[in-house]
Amino acid sequence: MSRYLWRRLLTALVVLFLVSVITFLIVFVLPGDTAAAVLGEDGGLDPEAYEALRERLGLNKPLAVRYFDWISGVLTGDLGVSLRTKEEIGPALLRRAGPTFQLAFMAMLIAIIIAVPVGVAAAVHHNTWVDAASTVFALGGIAIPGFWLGIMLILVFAVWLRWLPPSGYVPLWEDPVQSIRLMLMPAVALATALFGVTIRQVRTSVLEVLGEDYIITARSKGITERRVIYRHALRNALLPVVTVIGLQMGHTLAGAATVEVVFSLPGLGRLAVDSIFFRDFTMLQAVMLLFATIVLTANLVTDLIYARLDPRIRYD
Amino acid sequence: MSAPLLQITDFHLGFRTRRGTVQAVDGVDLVVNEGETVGLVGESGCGKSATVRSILRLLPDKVARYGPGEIRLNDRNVLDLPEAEMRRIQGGDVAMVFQDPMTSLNPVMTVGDQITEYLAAHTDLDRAAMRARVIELLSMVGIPVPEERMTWFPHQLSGGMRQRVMIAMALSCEPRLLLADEITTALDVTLQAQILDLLHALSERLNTATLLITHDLSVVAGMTRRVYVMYAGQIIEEAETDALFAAPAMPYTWGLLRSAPSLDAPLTEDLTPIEGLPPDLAAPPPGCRFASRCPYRREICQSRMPDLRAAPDGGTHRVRCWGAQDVPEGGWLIGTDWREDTGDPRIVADIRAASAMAGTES
Repeated sequence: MSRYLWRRLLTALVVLFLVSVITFLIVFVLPGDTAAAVLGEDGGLDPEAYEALRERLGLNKPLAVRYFDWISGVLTGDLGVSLRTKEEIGPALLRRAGPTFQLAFMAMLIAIIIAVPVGVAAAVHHNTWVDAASTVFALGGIAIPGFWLGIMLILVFAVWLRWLPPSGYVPLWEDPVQSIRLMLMPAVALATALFGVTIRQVRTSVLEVLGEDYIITARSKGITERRVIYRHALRNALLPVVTVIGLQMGHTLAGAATVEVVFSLPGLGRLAVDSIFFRDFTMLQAVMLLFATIVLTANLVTDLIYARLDPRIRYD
Repeated sequence: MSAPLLQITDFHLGFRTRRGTVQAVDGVDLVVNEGETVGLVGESGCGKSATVRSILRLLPDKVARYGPGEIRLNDRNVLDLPEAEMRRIQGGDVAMVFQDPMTSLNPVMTVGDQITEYLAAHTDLDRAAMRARVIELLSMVGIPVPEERMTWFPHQLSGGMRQRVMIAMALSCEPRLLLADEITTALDVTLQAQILDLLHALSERLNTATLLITHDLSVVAGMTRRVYVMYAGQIIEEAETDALFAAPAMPYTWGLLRSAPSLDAPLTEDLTPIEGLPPDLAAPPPGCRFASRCPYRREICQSRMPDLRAAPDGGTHRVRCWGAQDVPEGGWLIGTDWREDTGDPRIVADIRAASAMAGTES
């Protein structure tokens, strides 16, 4: 087990290195120039100030040297200073991580709570109206964009019905109830794409497992059909579902960006969007590196959970 | 005399398919008495597994059409029982051991938990008592160190061990009837005898009646008192086991005997397969179901279906074959020595030609 873990960690490090190089290079692919962005429309017209700033920001040094300067800073915990707000990037990321983690966690929870029973029902009653309805539901979830659904939710539940506050963020530890109320609509908006895919996966995988010999054995034991499905079929069927949920972590973060903008949540996704608009490249590099780390960690955790669920798998 | 433990009367079973209803079981009569071991023999797809699974109603509801006919267990028709009653029978009064021990155990549950599930469903034992019972059952089927093995998952056990676990599971609630569906087919030859001996010893000891389903007549020979031979959804011969082997009455049974290897026969002797394919049960032929593959057939075989009637040697031996029945137009096979006379070579050639044609069409 530990050998497997080391191998996985090593692979993750290689991927992180590649991501760091790519994020660093993206800055040069994007139109616009950091120094020009900092100086703004007017300042950019003064060639002397422009040159001075380029020199100060180290933009005149060769690319490799600049990458090395940046990455050695990252490795020693110094992510640099935001070009836009002039604040330290490390603490800023930490502050922004709270809303995003809460949003992603609640969205995944909602997605799983909806997807598992709906997927199981579709498989058990396959080729009936239940199955058809679940397909429509799932495809709807995949097809409807999160930001549009977010706006509709605000319209219905905040503007018309006035059940929920339209937008904003309160940390969970300050006011748990209000925090969850505020995060409910964003989480639902983000969850739709997730449960769409998960419903399809649960359905396929339960359907496959229901044809296995051990399901007939289970039925011959005289236990209820409910127990046959939830104890024998679902436990086996969830194995591939866990992988799919883990793989969706990346999509969840991408979706979080738009949803955070719609609901004015001060999260990482919105930070990334803002950084792009303001050409805040130092911040953007740090956010992308963080996203990559989160996705890689999520996949590692997924594989570890998978090994826990399936006794046949021994990583060594 | 009281009613037999299991009495199947004129049982029919259809499967709904896109091509229409396939009559998988067509009027089967079968009896198993208390404590008795009975064989049900036939080739793949003859309806023997479907018949046996019907006893526990294990076939998928969407496609299986039970009836007409009855399956009476302790004089109650299981086809009419409500689900809750049915669950008391499944694993309680009647338990089943399946063909493939590699796929019939749940891979993510320990074998101990899988046995415990039977006990939890059918007994009032507490946790400690169930654990003790699981250990007792595992040692009963010859699994060493049962305290440790009960915490193992199926993939950690060999095929033979898994089949022993299946038998322990099935016997856990001391059923009165055990359904053993091709339980040795997926095992190595060396293990087959071990598993059969174990089953035989345990069913004697617990006085459990056993219905042994197999395609292999040699399995039936040492184990059972009576045998039913099934072909294309019908019983075509039934007899006491000794009588069947002493004087098999009809060509399909002869074919089964010829196609099985025998230890007594010289090694140079070739096995003779039964030529041709079974009939399409979505559109069965009007006459004898075996006629299309029978090297002894006559005109009558292809036009009229024979009934199951007393065989020439009498007693409880019954046979569904015009040639073996002492009736007008029939009886031409009475006294035929199946070892010497392998049928009309011209008909054999016709059967081969017909099956070759069918092969190129499909």
